[in-house]
Amino acid sequence: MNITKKAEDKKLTIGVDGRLDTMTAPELDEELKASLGGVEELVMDFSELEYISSAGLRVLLSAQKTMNTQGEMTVTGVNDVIMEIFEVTGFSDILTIK
Amino acid sequence: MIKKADGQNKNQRRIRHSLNIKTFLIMIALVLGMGGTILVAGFFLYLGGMVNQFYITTWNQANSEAAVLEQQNYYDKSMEIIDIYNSIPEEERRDGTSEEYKANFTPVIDDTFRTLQTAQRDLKDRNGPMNSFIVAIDSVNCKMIYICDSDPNEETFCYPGTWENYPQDEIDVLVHGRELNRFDKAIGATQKVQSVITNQPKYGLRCTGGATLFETDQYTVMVCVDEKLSPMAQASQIFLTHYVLLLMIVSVITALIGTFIMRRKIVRPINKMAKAARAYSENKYTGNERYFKDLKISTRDEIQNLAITLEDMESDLAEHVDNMKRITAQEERINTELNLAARIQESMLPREFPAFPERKEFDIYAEMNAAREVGGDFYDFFLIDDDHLAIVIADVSGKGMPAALFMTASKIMLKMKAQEGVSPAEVLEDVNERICANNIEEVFVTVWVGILEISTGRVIAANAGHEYPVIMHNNGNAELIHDKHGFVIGGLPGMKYNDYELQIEPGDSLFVYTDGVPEAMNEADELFKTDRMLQALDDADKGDSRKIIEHVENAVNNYVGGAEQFDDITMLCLTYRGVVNAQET
Repeated sequence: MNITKKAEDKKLTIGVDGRLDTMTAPELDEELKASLGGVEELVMDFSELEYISSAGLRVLLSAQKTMNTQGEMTVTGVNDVIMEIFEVTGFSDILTIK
Repeated sequence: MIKKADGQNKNQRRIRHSLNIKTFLIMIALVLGMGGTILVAGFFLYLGGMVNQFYITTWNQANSEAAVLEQQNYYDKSMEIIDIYNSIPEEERRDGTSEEYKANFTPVIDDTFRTLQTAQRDLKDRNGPMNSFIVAIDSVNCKMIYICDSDPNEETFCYPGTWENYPQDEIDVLVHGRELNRFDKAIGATQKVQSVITNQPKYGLRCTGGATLFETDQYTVMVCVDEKLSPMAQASQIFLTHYVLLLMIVSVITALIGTFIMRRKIVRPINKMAKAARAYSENKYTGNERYFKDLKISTRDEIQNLAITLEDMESDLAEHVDNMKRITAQEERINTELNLAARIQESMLPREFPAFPERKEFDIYAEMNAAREVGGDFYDFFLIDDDHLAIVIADVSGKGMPAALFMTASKIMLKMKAQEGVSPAEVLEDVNERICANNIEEVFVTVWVGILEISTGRVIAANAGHEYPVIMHNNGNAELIHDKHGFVIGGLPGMKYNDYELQIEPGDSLFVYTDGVPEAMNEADELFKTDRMLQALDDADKGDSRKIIEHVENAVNNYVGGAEQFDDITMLCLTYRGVVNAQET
């Protein structure tokens, strides 16, 4: 897994590629916790993401909860596999997917 | 057996190349090498000095004789002999030692000759072993023509007028002297020394020194003094014999002393350490004995340092072993507790099959394989009343102990709520609220709840973020039900869930599972996927829940091969027989 970060003013774009699973999710969790302060618009770019496990979903949920209190979060570039996971787990109902 | 063979190998490797013998041999070689070098250098210096001494002595002697002979009439006698020599034709001269040739010179032996000879003999008596003679040297033809020899020995006496050939270089040195060498300079010589070593078979090895009396056109008349070198050769031999003998004795003594010191300072301490190390490795971990502590090695050098290092190492290792023992004990305790927890978790899941032997209307079977000792997956089924069977399958996010604890709480809450007889959606909403109220760890759980009306085959279900259920029609293929999904439980408070309805016919089976099935990975990191699962379900024998699950399990195992199991794999299968069928059987 690789994380790329792009910050412009109060907008933060985070790109994640590879697999977001039990092994890699803590890294993203720490990255988000460290960089969400003051961010009003968070974009999660999943165009290079291949797979997301429940541990990854948990990090996503945590980020969504944080952004609910300070702005908004959108998820972009979701492929079919990830989309299916979002639909099955009901995450498609609570995330803003573009 | 293997251990024994190993031990033998070790002993074979431990053949003693004793340092004692090595030291002894090295010492002898060193002393002999050094002594030998000194001998060669010393001997040649000694020899050079000795030979030079002969040069100087004979030359000095010849000069002093020349001075003494000034009073004698050597000139006339010499010229007389030279004239006779010159008068003899070349052919007759050739055999210079024949009696016939000698007869030519008999007249010269008169009183004058004898006086000259006596004077020379007097000098010889005073000067020891040296022999003196007067010769006319023909430098051009390299000949020495004897004038007057003082030798009393008949065999070596040179008759006047007899001649001998000498090598050109020897003649040159005798007539003109040679360049001064460093020995000459060392003893303060300033003139060219007219001395030469000759080795004529007749006289043996000798040193000849000469002094010029007078010169003619063709001849240089000289008085020469001879000294034999054989006594010096003998002295050298004695010197050499003694020296070599002494050298050998000294080398053996030195080697013995060296070996003794080596033994005390190196071999014995090393053997002590080796013995201690052996004892240590044979009895390691058995107790608190210290093998390196009391070696008492005080060589005040690297060996002592090594002994101290070994002692430190031993105590460090002992400490380390203690730590390891403690840690191992701790780990064992944790493992025991984890195993206990796993057993408790297992016992929480209904594991006795057939679960409802008296109910012929349906047949249920389930299985959970945790990836670790304790897992986050669970399933549950229980009768709410005589006509309603509740089925639950769930997957807690995360793994290990935290997931297991969360699973326990969720399972109890779900069962308690479902037993109140409310719809699955209500169950999920209620449990979601309760979990969200205390969910500091932000763990969530995906849950599928279904309630079967046993008499009709109607299933009311609700899905909180869980995998799609599958219906296996008894007259067709396995069908993945894309049901209406709600959000996972424990994620956000206030979530709404929807009930939906499924109708299963007698002979149909309802198959639910966790994501461990479609996401099982093979060694190439490829997923098993839902399609393969559906295919396995199609291939399975219909109508027997246990066989269906075992078939899917085999398919998954074959796919995964030797790859490690990452996630819990849980499956539950309900086969509906219907009321009529149940009465028939």
